[in-house]
Amino acid sequence: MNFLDLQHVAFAHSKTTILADVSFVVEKGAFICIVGASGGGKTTLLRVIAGLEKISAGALTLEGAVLSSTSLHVPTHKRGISLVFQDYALFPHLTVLKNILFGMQQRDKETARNWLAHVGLQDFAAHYPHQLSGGQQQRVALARALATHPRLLLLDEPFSGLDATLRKELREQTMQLLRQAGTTVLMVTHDPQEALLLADKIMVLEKGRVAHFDTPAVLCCEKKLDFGRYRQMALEP
Amino acid sequence: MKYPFVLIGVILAGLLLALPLFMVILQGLQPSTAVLPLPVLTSATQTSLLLMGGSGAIAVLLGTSTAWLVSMTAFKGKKILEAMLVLPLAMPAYLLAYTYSDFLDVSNTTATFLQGLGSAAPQIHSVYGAMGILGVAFYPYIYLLAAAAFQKQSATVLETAQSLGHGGMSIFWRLSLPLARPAIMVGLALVLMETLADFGTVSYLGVETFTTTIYRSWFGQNSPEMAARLACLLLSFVIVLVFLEEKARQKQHFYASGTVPKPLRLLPLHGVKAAGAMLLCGLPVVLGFLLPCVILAQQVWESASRESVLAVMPFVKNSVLVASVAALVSVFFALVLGITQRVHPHPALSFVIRFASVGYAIPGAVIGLGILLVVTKLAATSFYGWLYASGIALLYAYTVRFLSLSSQTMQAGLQKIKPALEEAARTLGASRRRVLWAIQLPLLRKDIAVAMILVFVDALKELPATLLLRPFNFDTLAVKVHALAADERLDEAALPALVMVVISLGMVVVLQKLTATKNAP
Repeated sequence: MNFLDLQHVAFAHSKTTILADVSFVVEKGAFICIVGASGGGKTTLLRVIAGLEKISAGALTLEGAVLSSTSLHVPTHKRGISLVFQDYALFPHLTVLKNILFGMQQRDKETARNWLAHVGLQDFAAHYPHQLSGGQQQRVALARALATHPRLLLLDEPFSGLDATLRKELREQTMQLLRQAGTTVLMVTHDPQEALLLADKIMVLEKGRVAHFDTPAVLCCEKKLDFGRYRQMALEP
Repeated sequence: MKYPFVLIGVILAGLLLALPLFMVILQGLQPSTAVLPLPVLTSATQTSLLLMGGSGAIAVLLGTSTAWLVSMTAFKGKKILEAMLVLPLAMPAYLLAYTYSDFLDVSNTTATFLQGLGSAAPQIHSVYGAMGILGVAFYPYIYLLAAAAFQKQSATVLETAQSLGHGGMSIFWRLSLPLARPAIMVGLALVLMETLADFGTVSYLGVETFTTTIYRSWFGQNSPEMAARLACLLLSFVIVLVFLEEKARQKQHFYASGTVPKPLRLLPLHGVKAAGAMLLCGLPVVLGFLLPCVILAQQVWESASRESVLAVMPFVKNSVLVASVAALVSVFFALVLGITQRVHPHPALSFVIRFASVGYAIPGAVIGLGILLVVTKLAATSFYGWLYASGIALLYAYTVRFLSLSSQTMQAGLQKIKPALEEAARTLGASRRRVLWAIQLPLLRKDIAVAMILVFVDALKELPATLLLRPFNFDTLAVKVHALAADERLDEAALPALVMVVISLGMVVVLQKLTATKNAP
């Protein structure tokens, strides 16, 4: 059984088509990176999967259950899908610990502290988001999302606001944490290096359609897409 | 299922808000034998325009110059003056009229002193007196907006002008002032709206403007038709002002967009210049707040007794009660409208919110008149008496008039909450209700408090609609002060007036504290 299955999904906003006939399947535990030009529909795709937008055509199923179709829309909070936003969206009026507790079914402080320890922020439980650095905020956002034990984790350019050194460091930590948790992940990135390093499969979205969806090796070596250029760019210091 | 419910609510809310205005317009357009004498109409128009011109000019001069000084320069005592410059907001304009009228009375020592100096005391019971009083009372609107605009100006821009060979005055006239002009225009539009809406000051000073003529038509000549016609004319002025304000706001937004400004380097003032700055910033505070307070306090000191204090208490209770309920109702409606619009954006809802934001521009006299017209339609029913006696009619007027204050504050607050926060909460499993209670309301806490204080202070000072619609035997501080002043019992009016100022002042101080820390979590 396919874990996540999108069939002919379309989404339009104010009569502008943003996603047109998107179809793909994702296996459980996979790490998928979504790349593509700006305005290609990457973030919208995540929002559609999270249930923040209603689709105008097609169907979206997770573990065999339909979440979105033209006649059905399971509300976001009932999907078990967590989304980490580009700017992290930490709740400014809640402490770090309360941010983690927010999404947890059992609001157990010890478990929340453990999640903070996983991301190395055990000493920051009582801090407020504005007292944290960008990297720390990103780690809180990730811990907050993972603490809900999501069936699927969506990451929208989670490292984009960080400098190169920090990005590399956090990328490694995040991957380790995600592999440990065995979470299925869809991550939007504008950095091809990130996609090549992390992804089991890479999806290239162009003008609201899936242009390519394959392993990095196939895309780079066999299909010899523009990806070679991306890779070259990514390997530059 | 939720959608029709939301829509019905919106349409009902919109109709209810618009009803008093529709009634005025309907009545005003009806063919009637009541003809407004041309000289009365010409005189009311001329006087209103003259008053707007004068008070607007005074407010622009005081507001802009003080805003520039506190934003761009550094001088001794600036911090305290900066805070004190908003204090006249706590002093209703009609109280200035009562106190200065008494202060400059021919029998008073001040007038004698001025005569001794060879100058006659200013004739306060005139259109020029009203200009001065309204200008001094309303300049803080311009001051607040202009100061914010000056402070947003980037040092980089001003330094570039310097490097291009411009000096201090040239930069002020060619750069600083034009950049702040949209903000000043918005402030000016507010001042002009307040001037048009004023009733207490002009009626006491015997100046015949639209509002006083409306009252005289209804109560003096028993002609609701004539009152409604005048109100329609007044509304046409208001529409022009709302349009100008809207234009200026758009421009202000355009001017303010851009990168984060580099903080300004303040121009240090010393010696004569510093003294001049202190004098200029101190003058409106003294004239608009401190001196009237001293006059009132002195009168209270001379005439107050235990009995007079006890006699004021019921009015304090009534005022605080209606102002609190008005604040609660206005903020509740603003919250419902704002949050519904955020969750279910709909053009009808946007229209209601925009309509509500115009409410503040409509003079209390017109709203009061509209509600009176609604209520008199129900005169044959038992509902009629109940509407008055329960204070519902009065609360209705306050809601129509002040919903814009609370609504604009809520809109500003909601805009500051990034949609990603609510969406993040939803992806973390929170229902819409939980998002409301755990995210939106806590984040709006300060905005709710600010909106409540703004409405409370304005409702406390409100006079024309309260005069028309208060329940029988239910006087507020404002009504009591007005009645006593109209009978020239100014010494008796001093105590309730001072109490009103003290309550407003307390609220303004809390407001300043809240807005100063508004951006902190």
